[in-house]
Amino acid sequence: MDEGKGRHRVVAIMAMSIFIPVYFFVFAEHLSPELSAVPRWRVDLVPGQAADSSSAALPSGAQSAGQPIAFLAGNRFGYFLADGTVLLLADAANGVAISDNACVVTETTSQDGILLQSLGKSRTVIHDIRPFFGAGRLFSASIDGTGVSAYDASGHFDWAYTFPCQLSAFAASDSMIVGGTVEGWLEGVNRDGTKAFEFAPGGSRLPVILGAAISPSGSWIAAMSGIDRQRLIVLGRGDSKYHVKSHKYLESDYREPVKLIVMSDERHVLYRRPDGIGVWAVDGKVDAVLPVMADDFDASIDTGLGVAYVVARQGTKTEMAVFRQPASLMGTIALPDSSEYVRFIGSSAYIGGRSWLARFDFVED
Amino acid sequence: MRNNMKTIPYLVVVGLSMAVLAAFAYDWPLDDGGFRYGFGSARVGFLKGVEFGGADGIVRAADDGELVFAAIDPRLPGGYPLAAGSLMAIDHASDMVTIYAGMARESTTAYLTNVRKGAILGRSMRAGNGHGVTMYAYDARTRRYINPLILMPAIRDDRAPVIKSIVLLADGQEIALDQAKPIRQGSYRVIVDTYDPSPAGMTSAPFEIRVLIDGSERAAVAYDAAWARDGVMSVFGGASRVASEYQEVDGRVHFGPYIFSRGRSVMSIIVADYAGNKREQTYSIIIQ
Repeated sequence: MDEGKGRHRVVAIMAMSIFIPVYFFVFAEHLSPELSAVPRWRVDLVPGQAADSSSAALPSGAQSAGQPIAFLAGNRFGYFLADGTVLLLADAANGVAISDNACVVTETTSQDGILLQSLGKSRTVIHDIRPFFGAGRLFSASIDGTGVSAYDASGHFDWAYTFPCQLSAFAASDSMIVGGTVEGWLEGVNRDGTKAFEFAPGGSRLPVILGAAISPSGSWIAAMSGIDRQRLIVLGRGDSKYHVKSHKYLESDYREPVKLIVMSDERHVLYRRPDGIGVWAVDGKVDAVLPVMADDFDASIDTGLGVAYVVARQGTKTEMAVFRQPASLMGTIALPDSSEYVRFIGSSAYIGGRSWLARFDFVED
Repeated sequence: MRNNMKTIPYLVVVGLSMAVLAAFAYDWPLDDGGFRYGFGSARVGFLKGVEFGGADGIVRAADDGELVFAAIDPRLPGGYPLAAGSLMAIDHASDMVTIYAGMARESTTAYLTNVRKGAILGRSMRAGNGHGVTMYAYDARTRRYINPLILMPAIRDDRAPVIKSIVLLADGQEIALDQAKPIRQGSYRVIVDTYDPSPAGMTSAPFEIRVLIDGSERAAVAYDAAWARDGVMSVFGGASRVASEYQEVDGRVHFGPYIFSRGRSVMSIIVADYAGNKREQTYSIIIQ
């Protein structure tokens, strides 16, 4: 960590933005000697243009112009392309779950949902659904918070799984979901709905699972568990079973949902801690802190530039940080309070609120 | 009969456990007059707790304990939506955990760590989906939900359960027993539509249902516990039935199948609530 910091010394931290158009198009600033954020475009999302969600259908010709990117800010949702073309903009009266391939808007008068396929005009009614997407897969939560139902890409019911107690943590990958419960157990569920494993971390006076994460391949599972003392635990898959690969006692005393991420390089876990974002190697060989305060965060690796991005939210404040792994901070950018949407794809950052959307790219000088 | 024999020792164990827990004397988290749906009611699945109605009621801790989890955001970090809107869990003595779902988000007192019996946890609300605050009593030692009626102070109740209908089901065809028509001999499931009026006047679940055929008890279920293993939810400590096979979405419950041979059979369904009020319905069935 220190080695990286020495080599790539941070020269400038981006100024706090005051107004997003001014910020993006007048004051493009350097993040570090070798990295700049360059604005590409900004579009207004005019409320009057928003179609009613119940009549929203996604354009079938979108694929020719590139892969649609899902957008969600409050109850406003839609799809746009990397060049700034807005394909769909709608307001959901009740609620919406969205992925790059599909979205489900829920009815106000019932618990039914309408699945809209992103690249066609397909509309499928799904009865009694509390929808959400995880790793691009469509799920529904049970009303009592103990169950998960899975649906296929066409919206057909696949399977349902009931956990022993209310879920306090949830994570999904393409191959597995992991539920953490209020009573302190982790349970993994295979893609076909069968139980993959169950595990109680223990080691604390009061058992509870506060957060869980799973790597894209499903090989690593991280969890924060327990009260007095709190623990970070990493499970690794070997011989088709999961074993504890590393763990660490923490100083925190969270009694609320805690964000964890297993980075896509499958080597590092990011976790919330009182003094920033903790960085922990799955094998326990890295234990560092990224000095970015966050109650909630998302992260992405830019393999092209060899850096990683974090969008950190604390209260109403949102900031973006660029760092070299494992934890060498290169710079931060404060985002406007109206930034409800941040998405990283490669070296591009898409940022938006209910009424605007912008893109800027990180480039090497 | 065999299931019934299992039920009795389980109830004894539960009863003894509850006698120990009685020392802690749990209290209802809301005024029991707002008790809408009890354990086992059909509330988009088998209700594993007790649901209260009414907005702006004060929700109080059932007993001394320690807050272990409080979520007020509409979703968990992995995207899982909290359908009830909020979730709070308090750890008590004897590995009991009480879980409160559906309090108004802005009202929850998540800053509490050590909670005293009767401490204010938040304010009740009626969610958009029509569900109110639900309290669950979870035994972390056995990993089972316990019917809160067993743990909480008795509720004054002098109304007997209601049996709306009893039908026999074979080959997808339902035969209502009150039509007094002869049936063909064969194997039938018994579907009972019954409820117990709750203090708030809703169609709550009863506590016990017994099926007697020709004087012999063929099934007896007590709504005492619910649990999930390997993703499947089961109910009733003694009888152990898979919840989705026992209860339909509309609340009707299944028993059997039973073989009815040519001649005449007498079938009685006895439904009781936790206060001991009973309703019995008996039919004489002619089998051809």
